[in-house]
Amino acid sequence: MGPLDVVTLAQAKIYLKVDFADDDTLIESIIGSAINYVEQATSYRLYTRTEYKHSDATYDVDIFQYPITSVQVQTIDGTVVTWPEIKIDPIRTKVIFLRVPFNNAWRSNQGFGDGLDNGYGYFSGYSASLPLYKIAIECGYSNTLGATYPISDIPFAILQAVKTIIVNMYENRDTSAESIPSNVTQELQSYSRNPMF
Amino acid sequence: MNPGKLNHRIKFSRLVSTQNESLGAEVSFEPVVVSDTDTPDTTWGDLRPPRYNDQLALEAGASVLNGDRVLKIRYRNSFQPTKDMMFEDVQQAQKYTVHAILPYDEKKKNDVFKDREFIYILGKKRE
Repeated sequence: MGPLDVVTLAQAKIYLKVDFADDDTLIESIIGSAINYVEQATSYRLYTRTEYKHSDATYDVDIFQYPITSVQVQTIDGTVVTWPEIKIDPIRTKVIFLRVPFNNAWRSNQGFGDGLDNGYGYFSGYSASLPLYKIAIECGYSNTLGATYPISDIPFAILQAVKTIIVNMYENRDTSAESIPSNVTQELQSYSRNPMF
Repeated sequence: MNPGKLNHRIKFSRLVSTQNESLGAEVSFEPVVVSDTDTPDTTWGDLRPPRYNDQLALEAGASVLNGDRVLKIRYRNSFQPTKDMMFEDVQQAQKYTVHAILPYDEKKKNDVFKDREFIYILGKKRE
């Protein structure tokens, strides 16, 4: 799945009133850029993919991507780890790294603890600030039949924002001064899942 | 440019004269391919009355009359308008002959896509 499954080339060309093939490659790349822009602004993921976050298990990890199909914690070499508690929530998905006692053999055997890679901890209960774990996040709307989050569930306002940005990028591809229309950025803010904004 | 302003369906055709043995020259219009759609002789365009600048862009002696219109369509590699063409506003069923291809673009002078963004055609209204 890719950006062209969300907004097809034909749909974009109808919206742009382009009825010739000269700019097809350009429009396809603009579709990808516009969808990326909307995804960055809202944390919605409009097509399925696996994204990764890294953690040293010192802090709990908030995941803002939406919609989420599954979350899996792995060690860096890909072994699945089951001890973190994963709360997949429609409001905010969270990976809670349960504090493993420092003297726990499992933890100390990892050879990290005080950052000196000697198997001894300096701050009890905390691991070193190295990315020990990666969190594989399956997210995005899907076009497969019977999917939990079908592509038809994407809010219309987000799709409209994608199309408006496609027009903006296509019409102003030769200039740098043009910005995304403020009504679109305001609309996207209302869908933003990032608590910073 | 707001693509929503390209809100007229425009059909292009070309003047063709064939020699007929009994009647002499016979004039007809044949469709011109302008788009890659199911209706290849039709495209989207913006029709507006000529402005003062359009008159300045014309050759000396050329005049602009009341019913004339300037047609704006997207530039495409496969289509170059010529003066033996005619275009029709499909909704209004109004035909225009191509009188001039206006040699300028509304965009800025340092625009790298200058003259490659839109084509402006001055059309004379056909009665």
